[in-house]
Amino acid sequence: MRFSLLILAAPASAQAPTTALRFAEAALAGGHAIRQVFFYGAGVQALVRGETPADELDVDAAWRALAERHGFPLLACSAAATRYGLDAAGEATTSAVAAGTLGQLMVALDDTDRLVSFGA
Amino acid sequence: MKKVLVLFRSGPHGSPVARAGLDAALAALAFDHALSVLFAGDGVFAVTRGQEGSAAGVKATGPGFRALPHHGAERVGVVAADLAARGLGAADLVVAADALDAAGARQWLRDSDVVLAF
Repeated sequence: MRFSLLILAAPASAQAPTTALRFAEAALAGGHAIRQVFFYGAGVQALVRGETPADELDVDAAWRALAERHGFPLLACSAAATRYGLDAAGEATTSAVAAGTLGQLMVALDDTDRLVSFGA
Repeated sequence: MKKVLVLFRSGPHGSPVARAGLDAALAALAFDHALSVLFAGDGVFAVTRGQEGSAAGVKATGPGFRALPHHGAERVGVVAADLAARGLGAADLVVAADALDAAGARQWLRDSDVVLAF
């Protein structure tokens, strides 16, 4: 099954992005595919790379590693990023997450069997 | 082209997700998906009359939701028990919506290819 994930909450303030990471890891381990992970609404703050203490999970790095190993895109909505005062293209140079559009999410649905939402 | 259901469970102004969900619903229509919209829990407040955003400094979402059928949304539904629990009825809504019981709402979810939950 091909999953797409929609993440609506910010990494620093909600469990949802980590739960989504664990879901993605479990789905991939179970032989499923991830079509796309889309960060939207407050979730676009995943674009911002902070300093994670060494004894905590670096969620950004974990997403980068998983996405690179399995070849799926991590996208954040540029329009929503602007709303949050983020320069999406600039932030994306250091983030695991690329700047994207809601249209890319809608196109990905055509290759998606199930979409799972996190953070609302 | 998929059967997309956008599920609203959040109130319109206390968090950004209802606004985000409305934009996603419009995007689904723009990309030619078959759109159903379902309001459940506090999501029913997103389509309640009298949501004046100006006092809170936010754009009211009511007009956007009201326009969804006009823009091509195939179905608009509301969970009847969640309206009643909040002291609301069909006359309190800005959009004509199918009043669903729990079984009806589950059927709408099952009928859909993908569900986006806000």
